[in-house]
Amino acid sequence: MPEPTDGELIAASQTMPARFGEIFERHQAAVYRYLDRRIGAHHADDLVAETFVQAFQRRASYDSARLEALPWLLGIATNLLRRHWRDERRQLRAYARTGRDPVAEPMEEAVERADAQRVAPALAAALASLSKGQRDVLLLHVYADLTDAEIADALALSPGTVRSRLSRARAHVREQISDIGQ
Amino acid sequence: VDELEQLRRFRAGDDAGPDEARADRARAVLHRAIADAGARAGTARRGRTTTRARALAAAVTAALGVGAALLIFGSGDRNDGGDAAQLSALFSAGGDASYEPAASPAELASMLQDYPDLKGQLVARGTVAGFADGRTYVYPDDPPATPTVVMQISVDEVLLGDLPSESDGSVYVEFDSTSGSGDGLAQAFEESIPKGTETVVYLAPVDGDGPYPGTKIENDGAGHPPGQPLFRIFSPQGLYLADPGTGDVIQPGESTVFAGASLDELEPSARAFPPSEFDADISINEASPQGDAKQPN
Repeated sequence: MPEPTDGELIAASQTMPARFGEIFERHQAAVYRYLDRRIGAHHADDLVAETFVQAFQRRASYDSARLEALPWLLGIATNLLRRHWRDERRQLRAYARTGRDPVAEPMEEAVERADAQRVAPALAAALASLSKGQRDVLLLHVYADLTDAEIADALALSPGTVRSRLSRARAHVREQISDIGQ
Repeated sequence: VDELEQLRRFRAGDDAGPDEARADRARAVLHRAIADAGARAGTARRGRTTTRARALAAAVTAALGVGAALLIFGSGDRNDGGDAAQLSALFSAGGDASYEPAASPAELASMLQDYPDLKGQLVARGTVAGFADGRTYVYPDDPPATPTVVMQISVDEVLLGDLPSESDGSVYVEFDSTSGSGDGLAQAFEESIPKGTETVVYLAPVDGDGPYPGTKIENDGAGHPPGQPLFRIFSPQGLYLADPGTGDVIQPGESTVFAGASLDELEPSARAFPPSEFDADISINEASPQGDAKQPN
C-alpha cells in the first residue's frame, strides 16, 4: 500500500487529528534545518514547534491537492521569522564584522570549511543588507531547495515576484562577494 | 563557485538536523495542541476526570464535537495499529474534558437526572434524520468563533424525562466544530453518519445563553426549526450509535466499540456497560441504512 501523500494525511487529520503527527515526523528535520541556519538553534527550537502548531490549526485551509506540504510549512516558518527579522540582521552584521558566526554551535564552527570561512563574513554582510522579502526568497531557495513555484506557494507571491526578487538578491550577493577570491 | 553555491555552504554545518531532545520538545508541543483539539472535540476517554476549572455547565454540555464524530465515523481511511496506538497515547496525555465518567448506563442516567440546577434532561432512542449547519459561538476564553452542527434525531421512544411540550417529535442536538470553519460541516457530517442510523442519546437542554456563561451567540436560530429547543450530549459517554454493518454499538465520545451489543444494553435501565474496546479509528463500515431513514417531521 503506497504511503499517503502529505495532502492525504492533512485531509485525514481533519477528522483524525493525530494523523498530523505524521506530517511532523516527515518534515520537522527540514523545517528545523532551515530555521537553524537562519536564526540559530535557540530560536529554531521554539519556532519549529510553533510552525507545526500553526500548521495544525490551519490545516482546514490546506489544499489537499498539494501533495507536498514542506513549502507550506516553510512558508509558515518564514512568516514566524518576521518577529526575529531584526535579530537575524543583527546576527548577520555581527558575523560580517567579526568573522565569527554568533549563532553557530562550537562544533559546527570548528568543522567549517576554510573557503566558507573566508567568504562567510561577506556573505553575511550581503544577506544582512537584503530586504526581508529578498532574503526570504533567496534563503528558501538555497537553504530549503524550493523551486520558484514552491516559494511562490509558500509565501503567497506570484511566480513573477519570486523570480524578480531572487534575481535581484542573487545579483546583490554576487556583487558583495565579488572582491573575495573564488 | 557561484553565489548560490557559496550560500549553500553558508552555515551549512553538518546538516544533521535537530538532535532527538530538540525534536522531542517540538513534538511534545505539537502533541499537546493535537490532544487539546481532541479533548475539545470530546474525544477524551473514560477514566480521566476534570482538570480544567470551567463552569459547572461545562460538564453538562461537554461538547461532543464534529471532529470527534467524524473521527469515529470517518472517511473509511482506517489507520493501522500503530496509528491507533499513537492516537491513544496522544489523547491520554492531553485529556482535559470536563466530565465524570459513569460506570454504567444507569449511573450515567442518574448523573444526568440529578445534575444540579438542570431541568429538561432527556434520554431518547431514535434515528438520525439529518444534519444542518447551526449557530456560531464565540466562547469567552476561546475565540475565534466556533461553528456548530445540529443533528436531528427522530424520536422513537423517550427513555427518561419528557419531550418538551413544543417538540415536533424530533430532538435537535448541537455539536461544536473544532475545524474553525462551518462551511460544509453538516454535509460532511451527514456523509459520515448516514440518515437512519439508530441511536440512544443522553441529553441536556442548551441554555438560552449558550453552553458556557458569557458565550456570544451568532446567527441564533440556525440549524433547527423555530421554537424547537436545542440539546447537547451529556458528557462524552452520552451518545450511542448502532453500526448496521457490524452489528456493533459505537460510543464516539470515548472512541469505544461495544462489539455485538444492542442499543438496549445502553439504555438507562442497564446496570453495566457491555464489554467494550477502545478503537481510535472506528467507523460505520457498510450497509448504510439510507433509504430506510425516517423523514423529518
